[in-house]
Amino acid sequence: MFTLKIAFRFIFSKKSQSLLILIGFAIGIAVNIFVGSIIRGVESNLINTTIGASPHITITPIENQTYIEGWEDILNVINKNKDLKVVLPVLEERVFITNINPESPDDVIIRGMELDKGNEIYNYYDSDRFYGNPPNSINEVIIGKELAIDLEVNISDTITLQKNPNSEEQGTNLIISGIFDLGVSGLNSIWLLSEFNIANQILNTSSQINGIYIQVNDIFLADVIADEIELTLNNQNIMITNWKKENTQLLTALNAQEQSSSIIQFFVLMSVVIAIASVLSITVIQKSKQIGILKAMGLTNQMSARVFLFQGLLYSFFGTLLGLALGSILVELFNRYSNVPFQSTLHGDLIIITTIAAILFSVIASLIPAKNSSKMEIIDIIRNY
Amino acid sequence: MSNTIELLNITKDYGKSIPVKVLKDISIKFEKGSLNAIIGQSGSGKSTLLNIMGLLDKPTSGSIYLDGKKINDFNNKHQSRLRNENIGFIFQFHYLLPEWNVWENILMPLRIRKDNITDKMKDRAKMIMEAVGITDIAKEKIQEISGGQQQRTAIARALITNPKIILADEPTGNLDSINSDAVYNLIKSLNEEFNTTFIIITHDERLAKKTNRIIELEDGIIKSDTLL
Repeated sequence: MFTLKIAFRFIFSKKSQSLLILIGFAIGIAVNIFVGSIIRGVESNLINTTIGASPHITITPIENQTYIEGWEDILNVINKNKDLKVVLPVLEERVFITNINPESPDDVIIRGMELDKGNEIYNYYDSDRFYGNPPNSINEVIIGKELAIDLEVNISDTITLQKNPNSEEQGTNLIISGIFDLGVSGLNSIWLLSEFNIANQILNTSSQINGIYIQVNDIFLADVIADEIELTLNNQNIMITNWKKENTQLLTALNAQEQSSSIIQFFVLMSVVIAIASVLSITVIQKSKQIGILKAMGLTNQMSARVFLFQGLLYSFFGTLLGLALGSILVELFNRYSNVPFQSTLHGDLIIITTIAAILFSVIASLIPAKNSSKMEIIDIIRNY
Repeated sequence: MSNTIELLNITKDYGKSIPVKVLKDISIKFEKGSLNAIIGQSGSGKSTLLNIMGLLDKPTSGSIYLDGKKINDFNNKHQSRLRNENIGFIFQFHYLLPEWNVWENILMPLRIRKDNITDKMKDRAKMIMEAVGITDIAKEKIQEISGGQQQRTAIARALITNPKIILADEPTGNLDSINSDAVYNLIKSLNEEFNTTFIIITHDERLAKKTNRIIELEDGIIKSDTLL
């Protein structure tokens, strides 16, 4: 296309000017990518810290019921949902350790569940924070770090658990196979984790559960998925809640942060786009003689406008490419040398949105100089040559 | 002989509050393949007339016919195509494009018309370059060749589309007398060789006498029209 070739030639005829525009544009895009990545990094760090190692959706029995009736059927329905990452049925209840302080038994919460699956949510087997071995399903449990300290027990020690410390029944003896640290002392001081059958045995229940804990693939869709599950199950005996409902303040903060970063990114983008438009407007004046000559030779007004639209497109395209490279380097350097407790991550959608927005806005901004060039009268240019 | 271009009752006014009449009811015909000179004092309306003929400017009233077709009512796009295919321009200042070299400047009107340059077009460009004597500067930048060479390049560019008319506004106005003579002799030989209609504005009567017809303008009207 000849007009594209003219656009290229005009750009190359002013090398230093073009290079400056390109660098300016690239810096704008790089800042955009960098800010966007940092904000995403902060956001995902906050989310991970707050809800990363916890369920996103929780199903519990309604207040006057102890267990979830027909939970196997419920699980069968839930497991068909493709948006769920982990579905964990749990039996948890308060029990007492009677052999350490027989005078005043210590109360703890036993959580019976499929421990390997539970680890996918709570990550208690993390090698940096777990001591000992995962328990067997016969007579072993793992307990929280603070609880071990409080009870002054260690791995291989035996504890006796009883649902009711005043009952005549004999307690169940279990061996501590490991000690975990969830990073939350409230949980570490009260949680005792076992396989499902051990909890059932201590609580004298026959395969009952009182909680289904779910992690979803996209945590921001947790509320939608929870509603979906509620609608599908249509069960009056259960309560379904999700992390968004319980963390409204965090969500508000995240939204505010996202909005402010979007505003910053938008204005950075606008400033480079306006720069392109103003530079092109100057180029139209600089190249008015050439436009006049070309029009005299038969270049149409539309072709003349296209020359400047193409210039806007070329500047924004190559400026964006350069900016993306520069932005990626900045993100990499930030991750390597900064001391903040999070990694900024370069997301594909950020790159795509920035690229499309930068090129689109630049072409739109080029419409003004393009229109000016198309409106130029040959006779005015020739008279003023 | 048939007429290439004909002007009928052309007037041109400049200014709105106090209009100045630059051309006053001009009617004139130019024959196909003729070599014409328009002379006159500065401000007599020579350039305005030429610009109107070349569709670079619009007349206030009147009609322009090219090969019998009224062309001044065409829309912008149509007029651009018509200029590209039928009219070549040579100006006092060469009006070459500094971003392109001699060869590219000559081919420019063809590229505007059609992006692909065929071998036939290239052969024509080489033939014209030979005719105007600039074969050896094809790859040179415009800024690096002499004034005479620049004007020869402009002439070659005007000829490349094989136009019906070439309009030249003081084509030697920026050249010394030796180069001026050379350019006029070149125009004369090209007129004979290609049978292209030339309409040349000049204030140099000596050069005007090298053409076949001299039209003298004075205060926007034709004072005299002499066949030589």
